[in-house]
Amino acid sequence: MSEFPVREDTASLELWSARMRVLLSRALDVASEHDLPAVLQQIVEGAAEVAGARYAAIGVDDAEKQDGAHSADEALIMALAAFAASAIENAELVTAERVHADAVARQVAAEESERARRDVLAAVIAAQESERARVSRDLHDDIGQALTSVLLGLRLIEGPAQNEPDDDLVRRVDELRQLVVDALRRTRRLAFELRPTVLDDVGLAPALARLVADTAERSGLIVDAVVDSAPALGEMPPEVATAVYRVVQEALTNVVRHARATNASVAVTAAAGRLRTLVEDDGIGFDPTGPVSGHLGLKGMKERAELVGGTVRVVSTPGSGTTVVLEVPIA
Amino acid sequence: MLRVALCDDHGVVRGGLRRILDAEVDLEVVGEAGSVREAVTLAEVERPDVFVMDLGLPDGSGITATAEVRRVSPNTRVLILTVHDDVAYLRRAFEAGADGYMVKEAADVELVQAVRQVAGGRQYVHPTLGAALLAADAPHARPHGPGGDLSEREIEVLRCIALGMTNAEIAAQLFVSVRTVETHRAHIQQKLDIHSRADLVRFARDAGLLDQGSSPE
Repeated sequence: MSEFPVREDTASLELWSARMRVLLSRALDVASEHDLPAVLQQIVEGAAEVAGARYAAIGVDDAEKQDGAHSADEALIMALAAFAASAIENAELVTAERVHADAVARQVAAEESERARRDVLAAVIAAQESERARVSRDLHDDIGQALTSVLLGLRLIEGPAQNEPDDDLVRRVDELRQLVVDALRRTRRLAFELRPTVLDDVGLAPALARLVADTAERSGLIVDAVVDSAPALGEMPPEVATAVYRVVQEALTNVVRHARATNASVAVTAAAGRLRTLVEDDGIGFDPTGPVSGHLGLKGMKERAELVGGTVRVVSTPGSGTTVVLEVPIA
Repeated sequence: MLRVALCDDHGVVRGGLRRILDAEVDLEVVGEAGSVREAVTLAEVERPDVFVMDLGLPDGSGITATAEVRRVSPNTRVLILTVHDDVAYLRRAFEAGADGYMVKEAADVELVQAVRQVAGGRQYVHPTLGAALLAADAPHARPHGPGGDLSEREIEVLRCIALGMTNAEIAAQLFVSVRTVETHRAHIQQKLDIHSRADLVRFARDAGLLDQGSSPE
C-alpha cells in the first residue's frame, strides 16, 4: 500500500513523473497483464479528501508477489499514480467548469428574476399609489361631501331653534356639529396621509411643505422643508415626485420615532442633472452598519429610489445626527 | 339684492347651501351648476355677483372654472368652498382670479359673511388658512447681506450645504476633515442664528450664493 498526494504536493508529483518516464515502457508491459482502465477508474473513485488534500490508495493485490515489493510493481504503481493524478485533475477541471457554467446560468436567471421582481414591484407600487390617490379623492368627494351636507342640514335645524330658545336642542345640535366638523377634519387628514391630492394637483413643494407642517404639529419636532425652485423641478416626472415624497415621509417617520432630534430639515436641490434630497436631523444618530438599520424602512426607501433610477444613502454616526440622501437622475 | 350662483357636483350640498343663502333677505341663489362646463354657461347667462365654487369637479378643477367664469363674466366674484385646506390651492385659486377661499367645515357659519365680504369687493380667507399663508410667506432667515460677517471659508461651506452636500462630501471637496466642516457649520449657524439646513439653503439662495453655477460634484 502506498499513499500519495494527488494535487497538493506537486513536487512529489513531478518526481514521480520523472521516474515514470524512465519506467513507463516496463510499466506498460506489466499493465497489459492487468485491466488498466478499470484500475484507474477504481483509483479515481477511491480518491478521498482529507484535510484539504486528496489521497488515494493504490494496492497491489497479487498473490504471486506477496513476498515483497518488486521494482517493476513500484514502477507500475508510480505510473498508475501519475495517470490517476492527471485523471483526477481532469475530472476536477470538468467539474469546476460545470460548477462555473451553473453559476453563470444561475446568475443570468437571477438577473432576469431581479428584473422581473423590479418590474413587479414597480407595478405594485404604481397600482398602490393610484389606488391611494383614488381612495383619497373618494374620501374628499364622497365622505367629505356627505359630511358637509350633514353640517349644512344641522345649520337649518339650529337656525329656527335659535329664534325660539330651546337650550337643550341648541346644545345637542351644537354637539352634533362639533362631531361632524371633527369627522371632516379626520377625513381630510386620512386622505392626506393616503396620498396628498396637492402632490398631483400642484406639485412636490407644497406637498412637502404640508408634510413637514403636519409632522411638526404632531411630534413637536422643529422641521422645515425647502425645495429648490430651479426650472428642472417644474417638469419633474410624477413618479419621481412620488418617490421623493415617500422617501421623505419615511425618513421623517424615522426621525420622529427614533432620532430624539430637536431639529430636522428637508432640502431638495437640483444640480448637474440630478435631484438631491436630504433629510437631516440633529438627533442621537446610529451606526448604519449595525443591526438597527434593518428596522428603519431603509429597504422600502431604497426600492422606491431604485424604481426611478435613484439611490438612497444613510449617513450617521452615533451622537451626531442622521442624514438620508436620496439622489435621482433628472433629464 | 346679491345674486349668488353655486357650483358643486353634489346636489345635496348645493341644496344645503341654497337654503342657508336663501334664508338671508339680501341674498338670492340664481342658479346651480355641477361641473366646470355648467358653471361657465351659468356665469355667462346669469352674470351673478358671487359664484360659490367647489374645487373638485367631475370635468376639471374649480380653479379652471374660476378663470373661465372670470373671463366670461368679469364682474362675478368667485368664492372657493372646498374640503382642501392646502395653502397651495389657495394661491392657485387667487392666481386664477378668486376673491375668497373657505373650507367646507366652516360652510355653515362663515358662508353668508364670506359671500357678503367678497361681493363688497374685499377678499375673504378662512382664518386658519390665512394664518397658514402668513406662516408660509414669513421670511425664514433674516438676510444679513451676502454672507454677513462670515469668513470666506464659511461662505464656501455654506454654498456647499445649500447645494445639498453632506459634511463628508464638503470635506472631500474642500480638502479638510469632516470635523472641520462641522465646526465651520456650527459657526455659520451661530453667526446667522439659523438652525436648519432648509433655512441655510434659503439664506444662501437669497444672498445670491447659488448663482455661481456650481454642482455638488
